[in-house]
Amino acid sequence: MIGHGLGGYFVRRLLGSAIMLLLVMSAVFFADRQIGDPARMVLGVAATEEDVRELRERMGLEDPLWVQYRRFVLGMVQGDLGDTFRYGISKPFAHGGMPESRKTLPIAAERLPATFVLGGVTIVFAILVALPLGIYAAMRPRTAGDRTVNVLSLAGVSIVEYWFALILILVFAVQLDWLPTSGYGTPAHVILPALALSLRPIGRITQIARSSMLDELAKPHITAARGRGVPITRIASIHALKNAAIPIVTTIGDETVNVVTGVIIIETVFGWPGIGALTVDALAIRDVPLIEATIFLLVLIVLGINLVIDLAYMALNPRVRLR
Amino acid sequence: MAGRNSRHALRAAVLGVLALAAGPAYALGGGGELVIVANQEPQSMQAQVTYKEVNGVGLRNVIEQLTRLDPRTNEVKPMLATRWEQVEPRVWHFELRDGVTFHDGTPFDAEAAAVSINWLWNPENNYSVREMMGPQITAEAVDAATVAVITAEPDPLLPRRIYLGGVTSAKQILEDPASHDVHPIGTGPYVFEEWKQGQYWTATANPDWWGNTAEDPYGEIFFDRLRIVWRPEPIVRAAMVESGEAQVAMFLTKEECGRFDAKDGIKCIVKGSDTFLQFRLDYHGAAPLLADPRFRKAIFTSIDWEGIRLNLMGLGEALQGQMLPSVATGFHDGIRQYPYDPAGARAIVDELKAGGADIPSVHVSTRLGSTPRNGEMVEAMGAMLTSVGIPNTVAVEEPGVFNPRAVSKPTPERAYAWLHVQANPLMDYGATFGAHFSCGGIVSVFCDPDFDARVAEAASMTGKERHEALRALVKEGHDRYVVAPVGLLQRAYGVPEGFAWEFGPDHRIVAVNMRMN
Repeated sequence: MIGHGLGGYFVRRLLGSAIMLLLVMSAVFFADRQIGDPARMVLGVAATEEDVRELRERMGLEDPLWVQYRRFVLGMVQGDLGDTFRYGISKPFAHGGMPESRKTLPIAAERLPATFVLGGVTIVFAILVALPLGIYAAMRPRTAGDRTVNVLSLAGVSIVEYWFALILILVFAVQLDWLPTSGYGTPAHVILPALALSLRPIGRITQIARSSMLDELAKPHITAARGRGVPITRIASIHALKNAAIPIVTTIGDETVNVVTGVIIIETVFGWPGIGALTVDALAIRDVPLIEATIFLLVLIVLGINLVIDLAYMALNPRVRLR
Repeated sequence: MAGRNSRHALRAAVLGVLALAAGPAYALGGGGELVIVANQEPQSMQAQVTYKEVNGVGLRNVIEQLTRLDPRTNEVKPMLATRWEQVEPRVWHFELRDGVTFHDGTPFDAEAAAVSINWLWNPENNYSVREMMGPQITAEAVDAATVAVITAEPDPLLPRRIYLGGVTSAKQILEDPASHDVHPIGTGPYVFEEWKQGQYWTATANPDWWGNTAEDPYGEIFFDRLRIVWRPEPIVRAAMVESGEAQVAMFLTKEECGRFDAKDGIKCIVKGSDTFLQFRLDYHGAAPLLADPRFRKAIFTSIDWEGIRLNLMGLGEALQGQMLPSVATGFHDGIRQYPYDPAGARAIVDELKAGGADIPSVHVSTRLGSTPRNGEMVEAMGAMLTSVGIPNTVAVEEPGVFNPRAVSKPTPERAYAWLHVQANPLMDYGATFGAHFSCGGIVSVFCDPDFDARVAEAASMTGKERHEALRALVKEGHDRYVVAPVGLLQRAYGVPEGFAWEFGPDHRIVAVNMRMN
């Protein structure tokens, strides 16, 4: 019996996340079986049907679908999503007959640190820019400053990241020569991809911060505080912001999830060696086990972020625990 | 610009200090690091990957071959072999260059060459280089400096074909074959250093390269270090050259190329390649009308090939109604591209209908990502076919769908047409016919045993006799409406002003043929 306290809530959320992971990965599993024969993709057009059948057997593709699915689910539980046959390994029938292979999950996991760096810098930068902008706009409603922030935040959520990334490269790397166009390895390399990725979170967090703060600043106890002569900056940063934090934190969480999905495009454009770029590579070569491993980790990250948001939400609003 | 100059000065200074500290036996070129930005990461570093530059950009700097093609004349020239001779109809002897060592320190001799050749062409290994395979090849050492290459059938093309096969360390193949996939050990002017998957691979100039002291090297080491990176977006590749981060940006678009030519300090190099875009119509599928020359003519003349080449292909050279350019053995100068004659095509279709023929629907497909705008091309083709009364469907297909269908032999599914790219670095119609026109050809849409027999006969000939025999077959293939060549792909590269680079139609990225003036 799962209790109603914090521990119980946490366990329920974990179970819910596990079910969600299973559903998403099941959808991925069945979708992957529709994109052609992975064995033929590995061996190329010159391979004989016999070679293809042999590799299909080794990959387990000759088994009934339910057997493959059971193996897939058990593999997820054990942290083994199968072998890649194409990514930097032997293609030929060398050494006794079959291609060399490598486990996909470690290959995908190797790419996580780069994605965490990019995602972390992006979301921290977005918060540092968006919160002051939103608060500033809320403190000066219907002024030129407020309207400017509104327009900028709307632009942030409207502009396509891919296009913005290319513009950033052309302006800051080519025209101004301030930053590298792309690549990985130094702090300078993270700036442009993080800027490109942060556009939407900045816009969304600014909008929510502004509207939440406007609601709070209109409440009677805030008016009373202003009547007592408490400085508006103190009122905004201490009293109003605390109460406005719940929707803002929720939005930050949502946008962090969006950043995780956004890395797939941005990492590819900038040559950033994260899990997003690896997903694109795996899709390009139709490496089914590797596709499944990268998506598995991306889904895990998203579920993890959602869990953290829920816990943060609870910390800010203790009533949530009892529901 | 000051920032960029100071960065470059600092980089040059650091490289200079490192070069002095290393104290190489051979004075390196002093050109610093050469950065090539390719469109995709290699999937492996196997020796066989060198047969196509796009599969393993830059790998020919590390791995060499027995022969090479002259970038200016496309003639076969010595590389690791200094001379060769057909001692028997099925046996070629290659005399090997003296004093060559692999990067792992092992000597390059006939035994090592035989191991490497046998590994590469072994049907068990099933490397994709076999798409350029003529008769099966095996090799054995005759003496320390001579390797015999035995072909299953007489193959006069062998010295040219063997240029596709990279030679790597026999010690590695025999003792650590798995590392062969990720760590190339060749004899070339650059020594492989590191492959950071997802980011780059690097190599350093080889002070012990045989070409440093030979009388007939194919180039000179100018750059001290080689770095290959990859960016899928052409705009980003171009930006890397514009910002000074790279010296060569591969495969720019026509638009990027125009922009490069309009700016100071950078330029675009455009050159025809050995890769052609072609439309094939199944000859032996389930729909009997597809074998009717009148119906085939209607299809081929209903499509505006020149319009598609000029307006959709972008960087495409005209082909004279055949798949290879004028330098190829067997080229027929009397053939022209199929004319665009929708009225004539419509008349043929009407005539066939009047005769009671049931006009079949033609499925025109192309492979996703095989060449820019190929989806638009098949859509245009479909619209043109419709306009003359030929029902059709068009599709851009995933490789998993397209590839198996391309290799399956006559089935109802094969009654279709496809638009695809194909390379022929051998520049000889014997190879083209073997792969694409023969009954047993892997991707052939055509089958006529009599034609096969004449191809086999021509393939055993040499010189003018071979040229004339193949030339007649080219004409016959054209008249039977087997393949409509759309154009020869041109490749465009963005480079800095003053960058000199000599390369042939195979577009090899060979650093010793590059320098910065």
